[in-house]
Amino acid sequence: MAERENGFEELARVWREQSLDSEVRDGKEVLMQVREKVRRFDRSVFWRDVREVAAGGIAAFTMGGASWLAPGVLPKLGGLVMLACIGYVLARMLAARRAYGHAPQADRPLTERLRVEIDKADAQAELLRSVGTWYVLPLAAGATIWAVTLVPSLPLPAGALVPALAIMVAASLAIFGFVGWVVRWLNRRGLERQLDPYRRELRTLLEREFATEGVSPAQSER
Amino acid sequence: MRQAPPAAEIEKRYLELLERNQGRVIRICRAWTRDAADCDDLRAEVHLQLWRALPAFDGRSAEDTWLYRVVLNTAMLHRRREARRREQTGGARAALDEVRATGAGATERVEARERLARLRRALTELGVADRALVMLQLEGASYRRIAEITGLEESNVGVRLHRLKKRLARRLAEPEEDQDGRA
Repeated sequence: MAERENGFEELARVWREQSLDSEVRDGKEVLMQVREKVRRFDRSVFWRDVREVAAGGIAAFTMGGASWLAPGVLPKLGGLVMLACIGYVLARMLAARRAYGHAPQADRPLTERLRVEIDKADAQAELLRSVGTWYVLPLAAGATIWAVTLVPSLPLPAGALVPALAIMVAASLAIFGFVGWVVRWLNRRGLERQLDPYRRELRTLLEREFATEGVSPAQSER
Repeated sequence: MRQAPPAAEIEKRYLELLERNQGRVIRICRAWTRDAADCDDLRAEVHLQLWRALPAFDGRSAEDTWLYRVVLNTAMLHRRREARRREQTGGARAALDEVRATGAGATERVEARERLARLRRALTELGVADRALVMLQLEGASYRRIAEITGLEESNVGVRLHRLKKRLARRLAEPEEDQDGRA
């Protein structure tokens, strides 16, 4: 027992005395690199958000503008519904990204940090899984309602209103059906190939390696 | 809500923190990675996480407890990401074996270097939690401090480390095998 402790103390001495000189860097240089990394990261997050908000803004501006200029109340109501749908999707996306972004977690105990990481991965998986309901469906519904409410204000020949409405609804369903299928497929693929294995790994790590109970000799000495 | 300290103060604290702790960061990053490039990546990530976490550090825990938490959390999740990256790129990089050690004479230096290299290899064979426990003990942290860092019970830390030391001693006593598995 004492011999083992001595052996470990000797190892610890060797461990702590390993030469590090060639790898020690000037603090100011490290700080500069960190600042540059933070700046690049913040800039890429900012521009990603700007791109998404701009895409929503352009859609809202063009479609909302068309509704606003069309005569009558109905197109304006349709425009408002469409704006609300775009706003909802953007709000969900931005809120999901910021849900865990601001709380410092790197200085939590390891087990607690793992739990937070699992919660984050679960929330992300839920978003990917339900992309049809919070992303595709509101956009499809908003665009369809917008199109349908706009049709009566178009200069159509007599008797063409119903066919035009039917064409508009069918086109909207076809486009959003296809887009929805592609988006859902891509998200499922990402979930199955990357996120699910990552979640399983994290759970295994927490539940097996960091298990606080039932540490059997066999488990520890495997 | 706690007011964040001014940027200049954070910079000053950060530089002092690096000054005192670069050795710890390097030792842990070396033990957690298999090659020099990966070690550099991890160190850069650790420096970033320390910078991000520093404004919220209020001194309620000891500085080294806080530091080890940041370093090990970063290493633990970096390792997961790195493993996934390796799977995706399908290749392992050259092993890092640039382990150096100090000592009075050349023979002692060589011996210490070999012991260190074997210790690092033995560490890489351990699971994440076990490796963190052994590394913290090698760094000189008490069971209580290790429990604070990992979130495990102190008694659990003691039991596990007792077994791990035994296992490590056995592993280091085994004859070293070469690349082809020959003793």
